[in-house]
Amino acid sequence: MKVGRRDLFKFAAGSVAGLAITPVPWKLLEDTALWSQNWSWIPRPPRGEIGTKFTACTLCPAGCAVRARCVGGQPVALAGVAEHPATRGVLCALGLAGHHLPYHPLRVRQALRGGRPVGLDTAAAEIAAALVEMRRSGSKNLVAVLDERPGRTASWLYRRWLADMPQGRYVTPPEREGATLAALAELIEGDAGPLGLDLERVRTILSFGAPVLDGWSTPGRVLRRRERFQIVQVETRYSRTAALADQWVPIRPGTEAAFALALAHVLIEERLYDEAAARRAGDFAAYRKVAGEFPPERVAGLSGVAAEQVIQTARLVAGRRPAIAVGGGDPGGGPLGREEEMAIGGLNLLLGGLERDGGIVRRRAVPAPKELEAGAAPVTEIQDLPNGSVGLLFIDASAAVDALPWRLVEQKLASGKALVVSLAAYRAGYAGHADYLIPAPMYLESLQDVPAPADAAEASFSLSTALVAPPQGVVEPVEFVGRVTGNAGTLSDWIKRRAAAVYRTGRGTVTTYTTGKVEPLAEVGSAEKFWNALTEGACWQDERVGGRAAPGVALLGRHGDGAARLRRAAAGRLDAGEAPAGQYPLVLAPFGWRGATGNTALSPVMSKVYQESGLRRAGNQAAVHPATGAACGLTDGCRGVIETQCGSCGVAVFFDPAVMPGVIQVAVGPEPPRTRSVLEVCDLEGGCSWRAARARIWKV
Amino acid sequence: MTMDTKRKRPARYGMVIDVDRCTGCGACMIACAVENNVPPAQPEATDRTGITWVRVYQIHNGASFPENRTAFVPVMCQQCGHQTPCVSVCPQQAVDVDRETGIVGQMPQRCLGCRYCMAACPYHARYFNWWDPVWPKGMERTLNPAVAPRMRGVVEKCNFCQGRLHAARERAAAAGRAEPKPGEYVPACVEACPTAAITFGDLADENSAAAEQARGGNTFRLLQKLGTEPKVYYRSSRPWVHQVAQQDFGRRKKEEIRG
Amino acid sequence: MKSNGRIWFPAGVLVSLGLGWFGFPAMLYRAEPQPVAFSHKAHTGQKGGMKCEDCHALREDGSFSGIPGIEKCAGCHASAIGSTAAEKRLVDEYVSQNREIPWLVYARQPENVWFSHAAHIKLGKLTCEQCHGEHGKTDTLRPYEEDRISGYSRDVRGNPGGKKMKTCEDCHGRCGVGQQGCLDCHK
Repeated sequence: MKVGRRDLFKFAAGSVAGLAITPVPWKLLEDTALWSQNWSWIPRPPRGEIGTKFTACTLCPAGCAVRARCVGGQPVALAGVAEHPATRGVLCALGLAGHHLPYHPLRVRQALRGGRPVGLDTAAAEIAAALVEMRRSGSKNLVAVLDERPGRTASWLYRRWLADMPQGRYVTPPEREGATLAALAELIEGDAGPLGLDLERVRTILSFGAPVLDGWSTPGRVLRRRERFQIVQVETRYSRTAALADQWVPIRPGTEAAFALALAHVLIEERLYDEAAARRAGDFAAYRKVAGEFPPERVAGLSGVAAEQVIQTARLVAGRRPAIAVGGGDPGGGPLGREEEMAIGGLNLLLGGLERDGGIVRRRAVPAPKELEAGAAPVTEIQDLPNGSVGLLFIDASAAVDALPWRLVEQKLASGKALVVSLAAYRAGYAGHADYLIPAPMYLESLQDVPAPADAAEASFSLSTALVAPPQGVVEPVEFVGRVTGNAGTLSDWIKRRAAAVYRTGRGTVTTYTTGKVEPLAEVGSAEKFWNALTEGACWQDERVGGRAAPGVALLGRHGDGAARLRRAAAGRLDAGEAPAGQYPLVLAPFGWRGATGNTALSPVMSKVYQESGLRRAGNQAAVHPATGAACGLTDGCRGVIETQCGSCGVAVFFDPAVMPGVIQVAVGPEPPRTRSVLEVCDLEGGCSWRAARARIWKV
Repeated sequence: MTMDTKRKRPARYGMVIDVDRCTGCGACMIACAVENNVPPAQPEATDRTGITWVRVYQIHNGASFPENRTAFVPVMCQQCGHQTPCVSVCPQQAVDVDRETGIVGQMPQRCLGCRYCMAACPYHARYFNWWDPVWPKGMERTLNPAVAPRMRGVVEKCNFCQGRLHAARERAAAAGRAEPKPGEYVPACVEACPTAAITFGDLADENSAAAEQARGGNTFRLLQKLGTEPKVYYRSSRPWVHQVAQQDFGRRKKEEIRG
Repeated sequence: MKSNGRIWFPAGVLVSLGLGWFGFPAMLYRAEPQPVAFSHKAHTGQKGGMKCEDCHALREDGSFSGIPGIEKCAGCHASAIGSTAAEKRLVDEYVSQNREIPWLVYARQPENVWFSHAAHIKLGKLTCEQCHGEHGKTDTLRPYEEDRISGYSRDVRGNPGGKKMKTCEDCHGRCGVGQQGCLDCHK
């Protein structure tokens, strides 16, 4: 049979006609459509058994209780726990996405030496050898642990071990949110023990720049009873707290002490102060004299607040008591000075809030195992270390929160051969400056204890349990330091012993999250049962300490130089600096947001708040008043350079009419900086505050 | 199989947001992203191209320091109840208003990506996927199985956490009830708000807290003059907030970025 | 030889029909055997005495447990029951290693579908068999068939008794629960 060209065409035509009455074209069409709806490279959420687990957030010291929705054991959403007595179901933006953090791209999964991978054992051996060499050579250099989250069981272990080393020092960052309370504890005669804020009953909060409504204290304690107290916000920046405060008092940067003394002056002059409380102060006359030097008229010139507004503010605060005055500073902007805190402490006494319900109350410390408490090394704040003294520095940055300029750490290192070991979960904060970077577990990856935060009104204790497995090669920082320094110890064992120490107090109550049941600790039954309850989702809360005989108070401190220091600080911090006002006409004021100052990693979805909405400023973004900007030749949205006498850094400039003219507000964080952070050009001012510096800015 | 599965009266889910309580912390935006599998921003994403179903806008009274005042206004899909603009322009019928709940639903799988709805939405509450969703390695494990991730080229928006409505309905069904009880269904932003600024509920139920607040004084809706009858109400005691809310503050912000 | 020319067109049609109706479906679907030989009959019949709900139950929150985890299997199969090769594999590869069996789910809907067993069982009063047929009485598990292009299970979109959106709509229409928005069943 001969097959012609024409036949082939016929066959083809037949095939096409036939195909139309088969499922082929229709099914192909449908399947392609379906395929386009389910692209295989779009991630698919895992399926699995749905359950609930409880833990506590360790991203900041507040330690909020967390309810984790888990699918197949993996947390997929975090929420607050309404049953928790202090947090009342509140979790902040950072905490809500905390379960993303173990998978952060900046995660350190391997030990690094000078940025290159090194075996964990090798690193440990090398650091241990360096320590031996230090001892052998009779070096006077210190071995220090900088603990960025004091108060944990791990902190107690550091303190215990360092006490055994002649050159050992236990170092903490400068006190922030607890600074006012720490300063007050210093002013009270005898051992006051820890103090706390009775936010449950307070009716006025006078805040000197503390971000009361924006990541301060335990958010649930503040935010869930916002309508029960008024806020008077004394702050240069129109912060979120200032925006929602009952009154915002914008003062010039660095004039907190003067403003506090002016308030004291008005309180005393108008007899608005608590006279019974003032009788506690042995040096009231001397304090009155200092305050007398700062009448509203003078302070108006210093702080830029009209005299009438100073008077009106004093009346407002005194009119609704109990009132408390708090300092502490901004998470990015650095702490206030000790003199400022002293002045704020004086206001607390005058307002009658000291050791009163609704004011500042005594509380007990969270017990630690006796073996650790006995003979623990004292706590030294980093600015109090002698410069150039540290030969080996361990930085436990596994629970870092607020920003601390690297220069502050660097100036403490012995020149030349100091070794810095950073124990961190991310390449953030000091990781880039460390000789060794040791990978630490992240929140949700290891068992941690959560003691009461610095401002709590009573002691408390809960656990942050491990919900996901840490990556291979991760080591608990305290265990690594123990290994290097020849101290054996397992953190989880010590946490359990601390829980047992808490149980032995027999005081307080245990709240179980699943049922909301509150029962006395004494009725739990045994230390083992208490531990089980804690691991399954419960917290211990101490009872409130009742009123005590009020001991004497020294408003100007107990070292005799208080009045002089206070006068100097109140005369103006910036004018005390060496930078000439002519050369640097503006003031640089860095600011940040708790837990988001670039010292640690953030969940990638936090990009919603600073990249995709502009709700928060991204790191090194500088806001200036349009008038200031125009005077400096800047344009809205331009790139600029800020210079102080400590150096310069690049910034992105934005105009914002809410900024005080003459001030440059620069965001610290939220993400780890890609370029030089603005913190590194801030004036350290005696090593304890960098919240304001003389500066100039120009367009590039 | 018939009557008991139907609810007696359709619901009109809505919310009342107390602007005076909003601290602008962004917890709602983060809780929303976690709940609805909204991916983190691509490095080049901006204000205009990033996706956040609820966006907190900072609005100003227009004055300069120290008279400047600010308020924070969370804006999500306003769930327009009258002539819903996105529904009428969609050529694909990818948007519908659920008669049983009043929720405006967006079907990403049906979406063509023409973005007419985004142009039509007076509240700028709709977002386009300019990129495929990408989570850092390992983070896919934290995705919420109740919500399907979307793909590049489609529009998405707030649907009052439909996944949570599903879960609440399922729980109710297991208990033999056709619909969840009030309080059993709460969107993620409402649950996450640290100051409890958002009250959510059935506006058709006169006894619900949301309906009560919506009726109360000091409430307003965004761009009321358009007559879209949004089911998201706002309240504030500050008159200038009411005024700014009638301006198109969302668009101004976006057009600035366009540069 | 002219008459020969007429057969080419019908031949083309026939070949297309053959390929289209028989070859194409065979090519379109990729068959994959289930990881473990499982007999519903052995478990539910006289020997096992189990009911559907013993393994496929509603959880407390109303969600459906689906296929039980390895823990459930381990309850009886901690050590091998009988001496078949399949039984030995079950115990060695999964039970003793506490590894989940990667079952291929015939009725698995695509990612964007939300289906509530609770609503259909408790409110709709449907029985398992009304949707899943006599699956519970089968002795072997047939291979899972996946559409090479769309990635859907053949039971969902391919077979006449499939669980397409149309299937849902038709039944909802018949039962008078039809007035629904897209997101009632999509997620």
